[in-house]
Amino acid sequence: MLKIQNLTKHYKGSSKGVTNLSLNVEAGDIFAFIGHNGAGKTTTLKCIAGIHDFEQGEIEINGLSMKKEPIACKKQFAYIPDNPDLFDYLTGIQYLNFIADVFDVSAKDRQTRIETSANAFGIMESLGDLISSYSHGMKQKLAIISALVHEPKLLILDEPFVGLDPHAAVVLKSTMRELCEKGGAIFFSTHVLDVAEKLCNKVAIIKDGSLIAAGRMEEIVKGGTSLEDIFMEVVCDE
Amino acid sequence: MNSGNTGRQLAAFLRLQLVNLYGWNVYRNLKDPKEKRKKFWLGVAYAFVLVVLMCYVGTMSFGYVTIGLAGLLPAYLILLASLVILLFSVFKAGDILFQKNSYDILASLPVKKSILVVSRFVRLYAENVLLAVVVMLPAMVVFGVFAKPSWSFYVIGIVVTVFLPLIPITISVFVGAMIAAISSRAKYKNLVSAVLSVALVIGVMVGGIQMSMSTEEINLEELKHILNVALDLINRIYPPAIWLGNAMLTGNFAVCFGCVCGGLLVLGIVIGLVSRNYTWICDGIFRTSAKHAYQMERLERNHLSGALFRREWKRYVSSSVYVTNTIVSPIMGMLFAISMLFVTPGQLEAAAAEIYAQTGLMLQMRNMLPMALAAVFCILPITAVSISMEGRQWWIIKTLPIRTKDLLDSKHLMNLCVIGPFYLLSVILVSIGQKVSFMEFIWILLLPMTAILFTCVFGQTVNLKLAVFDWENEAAIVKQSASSFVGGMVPFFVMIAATFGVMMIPAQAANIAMLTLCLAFGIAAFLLHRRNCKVNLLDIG
Repeated sequence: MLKIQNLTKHYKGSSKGVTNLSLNVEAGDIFAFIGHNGAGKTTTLKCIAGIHDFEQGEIEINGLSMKKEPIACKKQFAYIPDNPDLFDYLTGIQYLNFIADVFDVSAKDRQTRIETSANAFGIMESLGDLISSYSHGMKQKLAIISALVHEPKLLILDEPFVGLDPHAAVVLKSTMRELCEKGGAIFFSTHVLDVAEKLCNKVAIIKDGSLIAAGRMEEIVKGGTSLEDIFMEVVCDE
Repeated sequence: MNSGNTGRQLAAFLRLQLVNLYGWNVYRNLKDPKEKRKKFWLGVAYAFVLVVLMCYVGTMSFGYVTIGLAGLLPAYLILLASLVILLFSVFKAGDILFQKNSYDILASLPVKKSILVVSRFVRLYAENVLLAVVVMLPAMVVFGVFAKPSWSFYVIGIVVTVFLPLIPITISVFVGAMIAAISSRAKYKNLVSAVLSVALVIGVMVGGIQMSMSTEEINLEELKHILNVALDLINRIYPPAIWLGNAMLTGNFAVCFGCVCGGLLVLGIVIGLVSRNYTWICDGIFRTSAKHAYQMERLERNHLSGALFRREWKRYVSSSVYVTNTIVSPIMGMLFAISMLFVTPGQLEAAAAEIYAQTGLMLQMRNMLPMALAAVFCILPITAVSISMEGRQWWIIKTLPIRTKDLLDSKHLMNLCVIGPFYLLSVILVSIGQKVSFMEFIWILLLPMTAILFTCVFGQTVNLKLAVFDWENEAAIVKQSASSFVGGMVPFFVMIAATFGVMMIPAQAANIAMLTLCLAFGIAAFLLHRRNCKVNLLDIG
């Protein structure tokens, strides 16, 4: 589904970035991407989402190259940033309609999907209001609903649980599981290691721009340890 | 709160406002050498423009001194600088004073509102004092060399230069606060704010036209009267220019001191009023209404271009600064067209004959009509800032599966939809007012159209090169960005040059000249658009 090979991205004038990162996310995977602040998680996600260009390496989504066929690639996934800056001047429903139009979702499908998701996340009544009136959590919910409106095969999420109330967090987790059961995949960054351990079947740990561990959750976390123990061991103690 | 604490807080707020004056702090801390180089050369370009302006003012001053109008110079330049500063600050004062993105943090701090207001006023002042220096300094040098005034001229001149921006900025702050206060209580804040601002523009323009029409009664041949007539005219427009100009010439410190004190008193009153009502105004401006009453309605599927255009339109009308500054050009076009209803073809010919008699230049005034119309419609196209106006939400566009062409086309369409109705009405009004022939009508229709297309595409080309997304307020992009400056002024000067060009061409060759211009604008627009569509959106921002 998502194949990253030798991804290298550095910011000019800064030591931050990502070096030689390779990963494979397969259909059905809920893949957690963890690391300390400034490790390169968001940079990696932005490269996958086509926000950042990168110097070396290749990113493929369902066999399509992000470098060569960015538009076809972008049709396959949805991305939600860590701090969703949405169009404040639109109402929630206008924003969702805009995204649905861009992804060419039929009127019937968008109606059903938006209604289902908005009810599930509890923001149906606010969809007629301007986004500028939304709280951070509501913007996050709206961003998630917009990501689901075209039923993407792949979800790329940057800290999706930040700002969500407990109910919305539960809804998001069950939505993630459903998508994967249908053959989709999710690649997301998080600092909530408990959630990652319980929810994900795969995990990758990044430190200072380099991948230091990746694999199936049960392979990484074994022998009565927790993901938190592993993280502290490989990231903090080195 | 003791005065020492207030002083420290004021100093901290002033530092906050002034640290990035002219983008210096951003430049200083840029790590990307390419970006830093780009900013450096932009700075050099701005500096070059300032030097050219200083040379222009110096030359103009020399001309005034040579023809014996040295007495007019100080008052005239004070008026000029004040009007330019007023023009630059009037539509952004409200936006800077009541800046939203930092309000929550700043308002939660334990400081008096007056400190916040004063610090923002000082920022406006600091941004504009350079303009006063650019206008006054070369004039004082020229006047000093040729008229040999006493030392008091220089002392008062320096005081006047430093003081000069205070009055127009006080007016701007007052107008900005009034518009903000009125619109903050309205349901459609942006609309009310834009309508009030545009009404102000029309008022100033119509007032200016009336003022200039009153000078028709002047007998220009009587040189000895020009000085008095001009001083009288300046006095009617802006009396402080006369008071301060006379103070410079006569060395009258008392008048200068009185003007400065009076100005500071008015400024103090305005700052006091704004500070007192600051929270009330901000509450109104930043208040968002949420009904929480949405029920799922029937949704419709739209074509991609329709969806992009609708979003673009919403973006445009959501910002009063965006609307106010970009609607001025079509309004000026309309005013020009309306003025052509009151000028008969005979009067135009008489004006051409007068110019021929005085200068020997045979100008084809009727050739001027389509080009002049094109020129006024081509000041600051919306496309010159529309990409920058995406701001921090640019990530959404970058991650969507849309072609560069689709995005750019939606922005073009948006620009043309705003200008279109004004353009068509103006064409009709000019055609009726000037009783044009069929061929003249064709050129009045086609030439502005191709010029507008070229300007739209040119503006977009510039914005693709000079896009900025991490701006503090919309006014910084619409009024002060390099993109709005280059994308807005270059087409205008091209049109002005072309206007003078076609006026020189004999009537027999007019059709060929018009056709050549139409083709040139059309081909340039086509080529630039084709090039723009190949730009990778990932490379922008």
